[in-house]
Amino acid sequence: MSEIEITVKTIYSFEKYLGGKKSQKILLKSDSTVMDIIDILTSVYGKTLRDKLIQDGRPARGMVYLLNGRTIMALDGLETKVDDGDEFIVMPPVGGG
Amino acid sequence: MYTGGYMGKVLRVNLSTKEITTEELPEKIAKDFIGGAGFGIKYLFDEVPGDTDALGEENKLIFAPGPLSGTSAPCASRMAVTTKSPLTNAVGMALSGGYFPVELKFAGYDVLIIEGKSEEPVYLWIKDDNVSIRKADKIWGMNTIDTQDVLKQELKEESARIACIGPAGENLSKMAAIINERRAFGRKGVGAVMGSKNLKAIAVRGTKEVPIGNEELFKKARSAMLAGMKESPMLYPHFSKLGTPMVVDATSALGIFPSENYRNTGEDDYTESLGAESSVARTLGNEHCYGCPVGCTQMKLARGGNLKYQGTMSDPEYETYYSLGSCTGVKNHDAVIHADHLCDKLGLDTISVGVTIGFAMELYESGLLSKEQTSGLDLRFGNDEAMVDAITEIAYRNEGIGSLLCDGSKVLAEQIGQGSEKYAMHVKGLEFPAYDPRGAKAHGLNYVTSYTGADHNRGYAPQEIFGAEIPKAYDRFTPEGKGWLTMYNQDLRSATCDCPTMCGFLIDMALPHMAEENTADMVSGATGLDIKKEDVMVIGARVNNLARAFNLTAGLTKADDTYPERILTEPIKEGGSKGHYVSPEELEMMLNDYYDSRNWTKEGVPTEERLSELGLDEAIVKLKEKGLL
Repeated sequence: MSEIEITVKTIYSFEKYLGGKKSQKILLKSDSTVMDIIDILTSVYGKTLRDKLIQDGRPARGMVYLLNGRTIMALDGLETKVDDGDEFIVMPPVGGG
Repeated sequence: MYTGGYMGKVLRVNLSTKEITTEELPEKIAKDFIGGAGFGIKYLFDEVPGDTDALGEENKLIFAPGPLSGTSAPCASRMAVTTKSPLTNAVGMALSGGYFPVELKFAGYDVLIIEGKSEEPVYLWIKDDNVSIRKADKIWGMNTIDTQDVLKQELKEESARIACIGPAGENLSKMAAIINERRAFGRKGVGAVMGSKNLKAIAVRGTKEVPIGNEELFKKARSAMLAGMKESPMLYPHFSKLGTPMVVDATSALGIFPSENYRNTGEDDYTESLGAESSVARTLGNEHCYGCPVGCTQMKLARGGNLKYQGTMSDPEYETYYSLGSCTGVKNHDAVIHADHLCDKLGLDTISVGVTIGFAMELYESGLLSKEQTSGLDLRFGNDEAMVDAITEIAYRNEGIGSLLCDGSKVLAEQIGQGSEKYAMHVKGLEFPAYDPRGAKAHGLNYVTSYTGADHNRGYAPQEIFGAEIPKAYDRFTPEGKGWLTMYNQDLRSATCDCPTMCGFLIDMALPHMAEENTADMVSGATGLDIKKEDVMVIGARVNNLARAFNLTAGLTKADDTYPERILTEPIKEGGSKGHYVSPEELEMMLNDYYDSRNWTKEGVPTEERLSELGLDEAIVKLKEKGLL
C-alpha cells in the first residue's frame, strides 16, 4: 500500500508534547484519517500526548484541530480523511485581544 | 426588587451647571439590562438624541460596572463607558478592567453619568457620598501616569483609583482612550469625549460593601464557576502564564495575522520576533485585575536594541503586537513594548493608532503621502522609529503628520482622496482588530454588523477559529450560516460578558459551555433577582437591538455595514488562508442571513414586531418619529 506524507504543526506552549518540534513530517498509509495521525504521534510521544488530544474517544475539549486550515469539527471529526501533502495543526484555543 | 449586587444609585454630574445629583437605579432597568454595556446603551438611548454632536455639550459619558463588580465573583471587575463615539458617530462602548470599576461600586454607585461641559479643566473626586468638581489646571497637559500619581498626592489618598485622559484626549484625537492604571477604556474615541468636556480625570475612593441578595445561590454559582475555570485545559495551563501574546502564534498558524495594512497577510512570519517565545523572554511577571485568579496581563521589559526603548516596561496585548507590530511591518519587539507604553501614557488606543499608521505607511510607499506631509518621517513599513515618533505627533495633533493621522483612518482617507479609501481598514470609522476577516467569515461579519464598528470583542467567533462546538463548529472559509452565528455570538457576548460585567477571555476560553447558566446564576445570586438561563440571550438581543436603533437615529444605514474594498476584492496571497476573500455577493448573502435571523428588514432596520417582543417600545417611538419604521 502506498504511503502519504503529512505535515504536523503546533505552536509555542504545546510543542513540548510533540518532541519540542513546531513542525514535523509523518508518513501514513494512504486512506488514513486524522485518528491515524494521532495514533502515530501517540506511538512516538506517548500517553501524555494522547490524554491531551483524546477524551472519551472524541477530540479533547479545549484543543484546536485544523486540517489544511479548516477545523475538523466542521468536517468528519477524527474520521476526516487525509491526503498526501496535507497540513495538520493541533494547538490550544488561544484567542482574545 | 433587587436586594444585592447593585448599590441602588445613579450618580449624575453636570459639568455645565456643576449640579451633582443621585437617583435610584430602577429595578426594570436592572432586570432588563443587567449592568455595564446594557446600562450604558439604555441611558444613552433615552438621554442622548442620535444626531447629537459627539464632541458637543449634549453628549454624555456613562460609566457602568456590573452587579458582580465588587463581589467575590471572579473576573468581574470590569466597567463599560458608553457615549456617542466621535470616531464612528454610532454607539461608542469601551470596557476596561483593573480596580477602578470596583471602586465606584464601593463608593456606592452603579452608574456615573457625566453631562454638559466645563468651561475650564476640572476633575471629579468621588469619596463615598462626597462628590466634588475640582480645578485641574495643574494636571491639564500631563500624561496619564503622572496624572494618577499627582492626584493621589493632591488628594492625600494613596488608595484612590483614577481614570483619566492624556494629551490625546485633551487634543480631541478621535483615537483617544481613557486610562486607569495601565489599562484602557481604549477604543471609539471615548477619551476625546472626556476631553471635549474639559474633564481630565475621575478619582474614586469607596468604603462600602456590595451586598449579596441570595447568599446560597451565589455561593453555589461561584463554586461552579471556579470549578469550570479549574477544569479548563487552557486557562491556567497556558493563558495565565502567557496571556494574549501567545495568540500571535495561533493566528499566524491560521494565516489570519494581518500584516502591512493587510496587503501581505500570511507572507511574512512574525512569530519569531513578536510571538510567545520572544514575549516570554521579556516578561517580568503578571498582573491581576481585582478578584481575578488568572492574571493574564504580562508585564514586559524592553531590554535591548535601540536606546530609546531600553528600560521601558509595558504590557502589550495580542492586538498591540498586531497594530503597532505587524500592521506597520515592525518586527522589533522592544519597539512595540515602547510604543504600547507611549500610547498608554499619552492616552491613545493602540489598535486604531497602529492601523492608522500602517495605512499611512502604505500611502507613503505608494506615493500618495509625501515626506513633507509626514513631517519628515520616513514612513516605510518596518521603520520602527518612524512608527514610534508618529505616536507622539498624533497625541499632540501636531501640524503635519499629527493632524493628518490623529482622527483615524477614515478621516485620513477623506483628506488624501485618490481612491485611498479602498485601503483604509475600518468599519464605520473603527479600525480593524487583529484577525484578517478574509480567513474567518463570521468573525468578520461581526466587524461589519457590530454596533461599535470593527470590534472583535462584540462577537468573537470561537466556532470557526477554534472549532468550538457551542452550539456547533463552522468552517471558517464558508459563508453559510454565518449570519445566524454572528447574531448568536453578539447576543451571547453582550449578555454574558459586557452586561454582567465578566471578562470575555474567561467566558470564551474556560466557560463557553456554561456561559448562559453561569450568568443567570451568578447575577441572580448576587442581586436576588430571578434571572433564568433562558432570559440571558433575550437580554443580549435587547442590548444589540437598542444599540442598532440608536445607530439608525444617528443616521447610519445598511450602507455602513460593509468592508473596505481590499477585503472584497483582494485574496490573501500566502499562508494558511491563501486564496480567501469575501466577495461582495458573499457579504450580501451573509448580511441578509444576519438581518433575517434578527428579524430586521432587508435594510437592516429592526421590525416593530421584534422590538415589541424585546420590550423596546422606546425604540419603536423614536424610529417612527424619524420615519425609519
